[in-house]
Amino acid sequence: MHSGPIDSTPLAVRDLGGSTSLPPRRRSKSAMGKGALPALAFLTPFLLLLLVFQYIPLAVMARSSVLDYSLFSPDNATFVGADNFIRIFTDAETIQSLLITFAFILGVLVLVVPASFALAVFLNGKLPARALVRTMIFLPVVTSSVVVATLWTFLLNETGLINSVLATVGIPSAGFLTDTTQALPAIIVMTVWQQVGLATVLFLGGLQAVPAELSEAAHMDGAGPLRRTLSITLPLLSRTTLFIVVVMTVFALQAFAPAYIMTGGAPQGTTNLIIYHIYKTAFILQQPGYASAMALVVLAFAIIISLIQMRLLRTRWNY
Amino acid sequence: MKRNIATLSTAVGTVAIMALAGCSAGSTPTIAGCEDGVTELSVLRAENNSPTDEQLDAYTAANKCVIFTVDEVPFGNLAAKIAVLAPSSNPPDIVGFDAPSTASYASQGFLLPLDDYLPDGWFDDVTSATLTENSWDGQVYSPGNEQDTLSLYFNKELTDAAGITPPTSLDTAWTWPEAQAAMLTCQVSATEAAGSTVYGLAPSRLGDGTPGTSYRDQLFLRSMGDPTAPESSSAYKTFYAISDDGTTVDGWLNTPEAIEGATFYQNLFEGPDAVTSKTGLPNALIDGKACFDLEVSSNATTLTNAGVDFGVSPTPYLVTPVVHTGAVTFGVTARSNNAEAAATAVVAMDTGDQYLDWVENNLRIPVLVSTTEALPSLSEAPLNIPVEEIQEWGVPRPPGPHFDAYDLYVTAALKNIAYGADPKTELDQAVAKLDPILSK
Repeated sequence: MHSGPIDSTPLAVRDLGGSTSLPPRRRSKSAMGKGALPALAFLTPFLLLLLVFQYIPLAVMARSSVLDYSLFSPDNATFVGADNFIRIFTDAETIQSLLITFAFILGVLVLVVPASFALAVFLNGKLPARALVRTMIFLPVVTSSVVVATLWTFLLNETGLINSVLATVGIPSAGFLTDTTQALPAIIVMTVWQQVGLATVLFLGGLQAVPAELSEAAHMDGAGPLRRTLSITLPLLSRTTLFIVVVMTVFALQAFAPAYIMTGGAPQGTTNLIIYHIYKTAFILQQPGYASAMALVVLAFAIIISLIQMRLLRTRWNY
Repeated sequence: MKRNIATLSTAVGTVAIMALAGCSAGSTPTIAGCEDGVTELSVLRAENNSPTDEQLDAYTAANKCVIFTVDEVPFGNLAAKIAVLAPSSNPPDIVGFDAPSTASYASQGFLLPLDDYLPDGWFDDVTSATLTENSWDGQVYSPGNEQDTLSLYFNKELTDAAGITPPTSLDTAWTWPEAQAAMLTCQVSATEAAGSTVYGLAPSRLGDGTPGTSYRDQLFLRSMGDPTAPESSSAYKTFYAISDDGTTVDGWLNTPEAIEGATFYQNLFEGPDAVTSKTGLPNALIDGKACFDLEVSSNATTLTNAGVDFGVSPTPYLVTPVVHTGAVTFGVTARSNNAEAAATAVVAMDTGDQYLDWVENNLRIPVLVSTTEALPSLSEAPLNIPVEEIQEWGVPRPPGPHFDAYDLYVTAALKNIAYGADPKTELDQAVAKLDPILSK
């Protein structure tokens, strides 16, 4: 993409005449030393907060995961070794919850990525009311998950708005939240509705950074819109796509409100997402040790899934 | 160098301010006449539940050196909040909780036994259901604040239009098949008149607002049992729904009778005789969207305030008339720093004149027989039905130290049954999940 050799000397170390005024290494070290102390000073409070509210709880959770105790009597904890971890993979309810969660993640990704890309392409065009549409699409992202879940509960209920509309055209009432085949898809659609705005804005940012001349050149070479999208735009958006996939995976893995507010994990555990399952295990069944082990496994899954996605979607193109 | 020191000072100052902001404690106010100081008792309660501001203010009015600070959460989050606060270094002094959880909290050392603080004659005065619910291992952990149970409320305008006259005494109570037939008749009549769906039975508002809550829906199973049958019989076990020692539900929760009751329950939601919805519909009775509603006694006040012409009928039954007792109550945490003052306050709010005033002002069902007898309004409509139900049919929900787990799995099973799952499979699965927990 570059037409000639580039002077790789940092601008900061070049004077107007083109000659370097100081040995780069010495100047760089000095600058770094000068900036490090203030940077550390300003970062320290937030690093402390991170330590206190993230890493220490994580360490406590790791410790809890090898214990068996009740929240009411933590002093009576007994060491159980890897029993809690073994139980995760032998407990049918937990296995079902993990599988349901993976299906939920897959459903969200499969719908969010293409939908948000299509919306971003629309918003990137020169169509009227783009700003209004962009606001409408992004609004659910900044709305509380609890509010969204409550709103969708009213929409999807047996007597809700969607069933009322279906009834007017003679379609019988659907059990969106009570049927074993419909409940999970229903909360996937709700989550997609809430998260698609964020992915759209990210895709839009990526689209606006794609050099227009590439597409124009391809157009002059006779490539149609579909070919330009598949061969130029999408490959150049691979970094953005990767970021969206990882972010949406983590969001979906952390989903709690749909199960807690809309379905209670029913029907027959088909919406019993893992975070809700962990919550019930810790606070209702009073098994915080087992819940901690599950939380650690979920954390490990999140890291592994993200690494796999980064490997599969690694960037091959730069611009 | 000076700049670096200034920067560092800024950062250290920021940390110190943040730490102080997070750790600073409020000071207890001084009150004239309280030479020994003011006792500040912390209270955790569910929203709109006891101990209410009215109760706390009345106690402070009579004991000016005792004041309260209140933290409240939605009822659905109360158990989780209690679980989180229980091991903390500074638990609340007084805590509101659902009475069936008493055994669970007491057995884990969370609650303070209150036997030593109860007035003379209290054990002779308290209702047996309250004493059972609020005790564990021979000790009382809450005097009990109120009793409550379900009754069948009906919209008189709709039932009259359908030509239905529900029973208004316990000895003429409907069986569930009779009630379902009446609900269906009213449903058809009211739906035709309104031009939109009106349910025979209002969708449940209890729990998370969907079917299955054990307080209401386990009655369909237990009502198939018989407490007077031989103890080894399936009918006896069906009624009690948990073994006498609380260690198993196998053969108690999944009996043939319980499965039959669950199958009947399912028919309220599915099939040609369905009379209710699988999903919530708030205020259905008030809005004329349902003919009947199984609700707690405070519903009478709600309906009166809404101007609804309503009546109250006893809860229908299958084989044995039965209702669950229990309501939100409050007690003292065992690790309270003000246990003596907290226990004295709790007992004062639940006994004597202050209790009588509160019950009378708020139309609640008392836990003391003497209070019930002192209030003529409790023997008149609309509260006479729930009061009589508690006295004649009331039983606690299956008590035990693992009530929360029991409630979770029974509610989940009943919800799935309401949604169309096989009753036997669901009850067997609930047993399989519960037995390892109960036997611990």
